[in-house]
Amino acid sequence: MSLSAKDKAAVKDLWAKLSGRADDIGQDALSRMLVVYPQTKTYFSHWKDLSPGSAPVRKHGKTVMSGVAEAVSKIDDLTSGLLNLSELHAFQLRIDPANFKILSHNILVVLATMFPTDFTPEAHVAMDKFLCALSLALSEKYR
Amino acid sequence: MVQWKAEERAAIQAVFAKLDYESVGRETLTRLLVVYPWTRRYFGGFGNLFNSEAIMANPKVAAHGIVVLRGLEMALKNMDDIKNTYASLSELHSEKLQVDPGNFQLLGDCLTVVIATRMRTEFTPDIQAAWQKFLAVVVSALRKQYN
Repeated sequence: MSLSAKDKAAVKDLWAKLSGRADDIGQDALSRMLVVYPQTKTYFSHWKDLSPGSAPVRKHGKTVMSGVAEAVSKIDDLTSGLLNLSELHAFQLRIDPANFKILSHNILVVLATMFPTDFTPEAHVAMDKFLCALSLALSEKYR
Repeated sequence: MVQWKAEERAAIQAVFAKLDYESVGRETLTRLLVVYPWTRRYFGGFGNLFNSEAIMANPKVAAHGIVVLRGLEMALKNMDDIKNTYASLSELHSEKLQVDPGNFQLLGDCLTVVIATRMRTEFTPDIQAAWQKFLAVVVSALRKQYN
């Protein structure tokens, strides 16, 4: 299920439209993840406030989305492009990779709420494939 | 037995109250067939499903979208006993239609995305949580008769 030229174009096209709101997207996706999938809170026991839109959630949303932005710029070779991020997730953060799917789902839901007309079925499939490929690249160094 | 909080029941009712079965049903099935193209294997008799324009315009897709949402409505009306309410539907999907139950999750995700486009910021994290819990119970009930 690798990214075709059409998929990459669709992702870059959509990203151009939404990058201005990247911080809002990150914050909203993370907020939803923590509420809808409470088991994900186990990774953030060091935060004072895990409620939707809180300061740590907003800050971390920005961090996550800058990673996504980096992935968009390296869409032609995600595996080598995201090696550092993969090492971070594998050796330091040690996040169970099953959670990548969960966050990806919430990113898609947020895109649907914020860009209902741009998030067409074609944009949806391209973005879903991209986030899967991103997650796979992030898992690269796990074992 | 599944326990539902009052807020969860209210949230799920609120989602259904705004559902235009025709429009949401059609778009949900379209997204399923576009985003997860292997699901087309179950709709051999539907005619042209070759691209998203064809799928969106296909009258059988539209009709089936309504069938699916009416099925979900049955769960809504019997929230305290979805498992038994769905016993024959589960048998239908496993014995007759022979649908891989993994696909139920995919359809649920597509429906959630479409609801998000309709409700936008009204689809709050709490409402999303209640809605996804409802879908999880529905999916589990649909899987029950598989063996």
